Amino acid sequence: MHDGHPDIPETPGDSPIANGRDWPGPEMARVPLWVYSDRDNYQQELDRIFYGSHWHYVGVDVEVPEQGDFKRATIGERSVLMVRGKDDQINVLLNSCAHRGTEVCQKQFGNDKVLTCPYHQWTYDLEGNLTGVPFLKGLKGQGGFPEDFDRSEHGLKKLRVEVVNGGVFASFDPDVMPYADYIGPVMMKYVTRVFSGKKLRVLGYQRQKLRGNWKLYVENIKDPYHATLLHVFLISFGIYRIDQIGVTEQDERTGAHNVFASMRDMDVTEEAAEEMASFTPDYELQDPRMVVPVKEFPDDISIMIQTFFPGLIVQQQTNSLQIRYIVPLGPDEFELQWTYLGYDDDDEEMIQRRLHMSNLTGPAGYISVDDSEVMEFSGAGVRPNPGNVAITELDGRTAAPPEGKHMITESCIRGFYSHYREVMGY
Amino acid sequence: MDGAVFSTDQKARVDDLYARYAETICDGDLEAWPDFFIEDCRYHVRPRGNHERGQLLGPIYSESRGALVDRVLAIRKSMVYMPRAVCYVVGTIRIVEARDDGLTARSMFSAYHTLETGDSEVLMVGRTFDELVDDDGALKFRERIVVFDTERVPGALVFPV
Ligand SMILES: [Fe+2]
Repeated sequence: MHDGHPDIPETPGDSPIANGRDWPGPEMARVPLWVYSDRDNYQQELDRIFYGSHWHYVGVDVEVPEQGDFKRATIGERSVLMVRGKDDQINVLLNSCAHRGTEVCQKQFGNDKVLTCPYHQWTYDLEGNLTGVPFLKGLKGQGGFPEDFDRSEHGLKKLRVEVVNGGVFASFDPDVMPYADYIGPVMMKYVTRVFSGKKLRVLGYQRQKLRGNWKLYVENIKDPYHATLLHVFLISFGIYRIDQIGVTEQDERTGAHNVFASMRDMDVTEEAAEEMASFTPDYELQDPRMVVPVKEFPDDISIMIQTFFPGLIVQQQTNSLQIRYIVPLGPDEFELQWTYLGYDDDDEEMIQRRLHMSNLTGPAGYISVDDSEVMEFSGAGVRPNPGNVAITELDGRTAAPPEGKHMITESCIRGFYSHYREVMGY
Repeated sequence: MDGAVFSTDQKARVDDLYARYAETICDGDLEAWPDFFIEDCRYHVRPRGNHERGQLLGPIYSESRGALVDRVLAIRKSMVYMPRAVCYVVGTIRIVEARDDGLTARSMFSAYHTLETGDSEVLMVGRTFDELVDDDGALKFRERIVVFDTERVPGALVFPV
């Protein structure tokens, strides 16, 4: 299948490495390009990462405020339903009928007293328990399910759920560790700046389909190296400069969750300015509303970008608050789902500010267009070259976070892959 | 039921505006695009789902012609993207209401983009909800809300639609 590599074993599950290949060194400083295109590797990612013992984002609680409200979400390739059930609890159920596997619910959002599969009208309560089976006893004594058919054994698969300050997370593994342990105290400290417990408000959604492997996007967010080189717009308006005071932190348990937090500092050193070859001081905006922030949080963090293994990103870009969630669509394509947030008590001025700032991100974002496009350039470059390797040794070769307070590092990419290799058995 | 009847002249002016707008996008003549709007204008591009939920958010949220000029400048000077052509096809243009101070109109459109690979694909299909005014003898947009059905945008939306 790929040049110079042994054939893929017939039963990948028997091998610790799905495609029978080794991971190149030194240390954590290389990523083999087959990791972005190999189908067996992708299948193993679904099994071990997306359907394994990890937490995934499914929504925010305010999306399902009333009992019976539901929203479709996706984990890996599987559709799930976030449902507000009895006693105000949020349930996350696999959107696949226990009868013959049909998707029970097609609507993106809705409200109902029960969940009914359209195919044979099997009905489930809001907790996913099977409550109705037409012709259970047959018709006039004929047909029907066997005597020992037990409805209680045939509910919708129920995922483990945790709601953390309004964020709703789910896992296919009933024995997954608590969410707080999963992300660790340092990540919790940062994410609760935005998810502070204050009631959230959804300003809207955006979706994109990009032709590249899902991990390329994770890497892009874990890579502050590119920010001042690729994003001319960012540096032109002092939104982000590489010599800004900033911190890079990774969680202690895995190193695969991380945060970049930068404080606003409008002075740019000459040295840094020279590095930024694309720096253009004469570039002026006629309508600067999308770049003019107000102080909103008690600290001075102007940009916080946090990634959680495997594919969740929480970002505060001054007053723009976004969740980005990555849905893989096979090894060569992924969907990027954006949820734009504000708070319930935002006044009209703040809502307008957040809306103006949303121009920076999303499918037409002044900054995000660059990343979307580079994802497709990366996809195109890695796909036909699975035998090559990527170099990730900026600021060292280990997965440890940088020692000083800086963001000129690829340590977070190394952190991601050190955990990835552990989970995948590489 | 018949809709309201508008003068042939009004309809011809509106058709001409929409045709020139489409041509400007197809020609890639970005610099001319902001001139279709008055200074104090609104141009939003948003997915249908957000629109129907009353959420104003979308790929583009502009509340002045200056913001459109800024976007053109960014497309030309700062954004990184694969070269492309956009084919914008507009149809079913209708004047909904004519008032002394302007017109309400709407249209349906489909936009395709063709990247360097040479394949054309649907970028988006949707509707526009527009407010038109006479600006010194020229018909211009005071408001253009572009509502698109293609919620899962293929790649990036680089050029305006
Ligand atoms: Fe970026």
